[in-house]
Amino acid sequence: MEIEWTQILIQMVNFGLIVVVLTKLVYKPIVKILSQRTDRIASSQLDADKTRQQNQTTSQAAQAELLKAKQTAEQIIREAQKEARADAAKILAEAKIQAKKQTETERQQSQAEMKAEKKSVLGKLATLVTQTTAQVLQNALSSKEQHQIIASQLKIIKGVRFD
Amino acid sequence: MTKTKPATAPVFVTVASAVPLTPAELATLADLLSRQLGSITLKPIVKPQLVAGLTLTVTDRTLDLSIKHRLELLQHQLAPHAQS
Repeated sequence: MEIEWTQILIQMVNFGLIVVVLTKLVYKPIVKILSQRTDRIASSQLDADKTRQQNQTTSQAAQAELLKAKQTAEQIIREAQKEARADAAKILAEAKIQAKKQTETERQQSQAEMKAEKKSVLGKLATLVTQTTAQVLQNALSSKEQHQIIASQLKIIKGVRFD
Repeated sequence: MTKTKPATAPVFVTVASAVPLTPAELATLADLLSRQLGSITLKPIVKPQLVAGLTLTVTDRTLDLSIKHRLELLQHQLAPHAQS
């Protein structure tokens, strides 16, 4: 079998041309596309990292704000509770004073009413006693006793000065 | 020389009693009063509400010796400021 060098050469040239053409038309665009894709991915990765970092910063800031707000709220609650306790104590003290005054007023009023009632009862009792005594004496004194009284009073009149 | 006492109008005396006064009581009373007041006119009246005793009224002065008056005084002592 004879080797056809011409054919081999033609095939080599042909292969070379194909390699040149493929390199020019396929390999380089593909490499370029891959390179662009790599760059895009890297850029996206960078953007993602940046966003993640921003998110982390924002989250930390939000947490810090939240903590600060919580502390402020707790402080406000503590102050409000303190003020409420002070107000409650003040109201209670005022209520005690008011109740004491009210009790004293009612006690005085009650005493005055009792005194007035006692006076009224005493007055009625005195009237009843004297009226009953007068009634009894009117019925009980005999004519003789009446004139004995008059005789004793005439002695009294003797010692009275009229001029 | 003698002085004559000027004639004066009799003093009007009202005597109130729970029972009618006897003539002897009236005479005694007239005697007692005329010693001090001179000529008197005695007007006896009967007031059973006096209970017992006498009340004399000489012009504008009154001597109340009645039991009713004594009881009123007693009532004031029992309840000094009460309104009867």
